[in-house]
Amino acid sequence: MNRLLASLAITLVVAVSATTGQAASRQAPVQTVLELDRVATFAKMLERELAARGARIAIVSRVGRPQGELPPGFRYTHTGFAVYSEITTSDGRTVPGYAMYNLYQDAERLDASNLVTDYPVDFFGGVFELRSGVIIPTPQLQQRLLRVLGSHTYRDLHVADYSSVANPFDARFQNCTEFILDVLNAAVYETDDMALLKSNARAYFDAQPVKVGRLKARIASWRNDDITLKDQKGGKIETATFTTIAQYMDKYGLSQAQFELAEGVDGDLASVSFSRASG
Amino acid sequence: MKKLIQKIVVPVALIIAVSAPPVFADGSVQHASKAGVHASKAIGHTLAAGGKVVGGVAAVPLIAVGIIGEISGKAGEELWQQASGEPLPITDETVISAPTPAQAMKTGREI
Repeated sequence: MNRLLASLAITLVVAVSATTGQAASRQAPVQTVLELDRVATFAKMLERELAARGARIAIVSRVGRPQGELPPGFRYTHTGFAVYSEITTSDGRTVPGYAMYNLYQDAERLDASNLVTDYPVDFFGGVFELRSGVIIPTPQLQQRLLRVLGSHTYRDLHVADYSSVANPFDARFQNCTEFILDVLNAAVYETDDMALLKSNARAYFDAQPVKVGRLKARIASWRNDDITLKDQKGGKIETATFTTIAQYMDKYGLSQAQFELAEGVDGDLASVSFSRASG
Repeated sequence: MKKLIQKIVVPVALIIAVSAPPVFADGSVQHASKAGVHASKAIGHTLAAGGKVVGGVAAVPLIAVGIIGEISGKAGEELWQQASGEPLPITDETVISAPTPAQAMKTGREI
């Protein structure tokens, strides 16, 4: 029996070693100058859409991988805040536009993250598809969110330990969407008390179940530094997504608009409104 | 029996291991670090869709007509309510993150 277990262990190690290379495929395609033009056009159209609606702050998502590679229920791969800002350019001028406030996974250490402010072109650079989910909070919530972003609370809510399937009801690990949810609820409840934020999330937020077998998930956690199941409980895996945040905000009247923007076939912007259970 | 288990369990375990998803829903990796190397070359250029590419070095959130924090209390609330929903001006230029020194060193000619 011991020999059998040893054989099984060796098999798994070999299999794991043989497939770790797949993780590298997560790298975004290298952006060329030609692609930059297309990305910049889309990013500017998104900015104009937000500006036309008078949005000082919006929640914006992107699609970093083909839909077929995402688990059921996942439509976007990264989410950040777009904040209407006065931008100082490298030649010393100031211009009005949107800056993106992100929790990004560290490119060198995949189990860690950093808070980074960049711009819409950087945000959409290297995406698989020019499509974006957008949530514009109500004016009152926008105001509260801007207060949080301008305070120490924004950085205090950051948990540097990263897991791509972080449990939104547990503060030990965080991904980009859990961070968005924490900041959002810090604005809603006007608190920076993480225990209270998690307690309220458990009471009112419905997380996205990750439909993958426990064994597969366990193997994935062995193979990938950015996946841990330490914060998951009771045999099920759940995490926050752009879609579940949109549903939460819709349910409790926290948003004034929710829609998806996509690059049209002729390069124009196609917009689809949604409010419930879509996107 | 042992042979049967070896013949079934080991291949099944192998299949599970190989087919396990490499990631769940990643995509939060910062693209700017990679894109920045290429985009930094575009600073100063004009895009086909119009608008010049400029580097951004700082951004401060704006509200209504003032910098955040300057307006407070009831007056601030009223001003916010009046102004909310109105279109906001936006630059035609495309702002990208100015490259870090490390990114800048990856571009240009080698001696």
